[in-house]
Amino acid sequence: MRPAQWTWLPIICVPVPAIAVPAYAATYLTVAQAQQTIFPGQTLTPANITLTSEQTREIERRSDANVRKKEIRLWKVDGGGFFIVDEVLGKHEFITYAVGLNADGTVKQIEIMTYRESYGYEVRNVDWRAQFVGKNAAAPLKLSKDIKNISGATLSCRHIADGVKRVLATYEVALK
Amino acid sequence: MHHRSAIFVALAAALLLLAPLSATRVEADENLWGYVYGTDTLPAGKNEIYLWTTSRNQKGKGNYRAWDTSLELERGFTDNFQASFYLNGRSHQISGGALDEDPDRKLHRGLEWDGVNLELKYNLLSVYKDLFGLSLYIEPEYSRIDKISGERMNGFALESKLILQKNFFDDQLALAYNLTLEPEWNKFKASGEREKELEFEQSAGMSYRFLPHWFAGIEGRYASVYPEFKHREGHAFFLGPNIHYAAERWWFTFTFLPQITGKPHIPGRDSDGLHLHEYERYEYRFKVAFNF
Repeated sequence: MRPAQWTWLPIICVPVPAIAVPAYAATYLTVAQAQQTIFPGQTLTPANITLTSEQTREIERRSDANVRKKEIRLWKVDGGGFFIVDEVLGKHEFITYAVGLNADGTVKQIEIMTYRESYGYEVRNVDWRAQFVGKNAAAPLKLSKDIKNISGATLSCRHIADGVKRVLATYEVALK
Repeated sequence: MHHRSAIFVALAAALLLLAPLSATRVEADENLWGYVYGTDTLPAGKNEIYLWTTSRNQKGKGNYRAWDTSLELERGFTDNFQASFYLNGRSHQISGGALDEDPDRKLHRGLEWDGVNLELKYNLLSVYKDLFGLSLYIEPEYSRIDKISGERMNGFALESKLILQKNFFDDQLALAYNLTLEPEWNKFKASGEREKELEFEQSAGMSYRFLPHWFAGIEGRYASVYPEFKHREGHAFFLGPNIHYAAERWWFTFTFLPQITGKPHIPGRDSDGLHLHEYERYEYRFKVAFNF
């Protein structure tokens, strides 16, 4: 075989796994399922808002996290509290998650709705997510401080922690 | 085709085809660049199999083409420490007086087994958690085919790297720097001649995620060789673009790397603005990897 022929071997091999391997992407919860998981039996009313430029700057200042979208997917909970669907960057795609806030602005619960990354699925673990319960906007939400890191899933852990910090700052600036 | 070549190609193809079928779980130590290393390591218990092909082309005269191919199996032993085993192949097409030191050399050799490497990489600082990422890397190598001339030899090398990485914009933009030292000891079979040299290289890369799954960037290498570990024989600077695609179970990276400037610090050697004695006019590298 001439050298030039087999040089193309890896290129020929590329489509093979693309065809042979089914997608591993996972949607764990729809919006309705996430709402029922965090606020079971309660009524939620859509209340989307769009942040002003001033609010955006203030949220970024307080949370030290970028506001990628000014449109907030928000529901109000009868009897007090909010339900927010948010996205943060994973290594390859966006991670979609939901945050339930109590009436006093503390975290009631977070749920991972869609996760399509190569690794870091451990962020769905109940124990890891439970660290956010009760946190408010004053909490640092920093890895290895008040939020434990998961080795091998550091990027996802950090981005979700940053995202929750930004959601809590959004409550203080735009919802309180 | 030489029977050893056939075995190498068959082994590579079989492993590449079978790897995704046995995959149940995905971890990735993606290479954003073809040449520059990032600081990530595979998490504990995770594996990755790679196929690399590097094509090195043209010495400024005659015909010179060389291919370096590696099949690499990598495993994370802890979340900070990984080890890889490489099975290397090499082929050459040399004619028309391409080699200054041996203008009569003609070689048309297909893929043959060249040697093996063992790579050990340890991550000290996480690029996602600490101020910057820091990893150390060491790689003992055995080679039986000279990279430039294709001559038979017994060669040993010890490559060591200091790897730094810093990310920006929610990790969408990655910058990395590598400092590489590689002493080599070679003994050529035909002549019995021995040589030793030190390769010193600094390389850096930038990569930006411009779409989900897709990263584009540039990378550069500044390489020097010190024969007998003494005076610098020459230097070369390469700079080129790269593209990286990552799915959940596999990824690929392609880099085109032309030599931009170089100089052989050898009396009487015409440089033509490039160092073509030790390096080539341009290279390209393709890597594909599967996680399992």
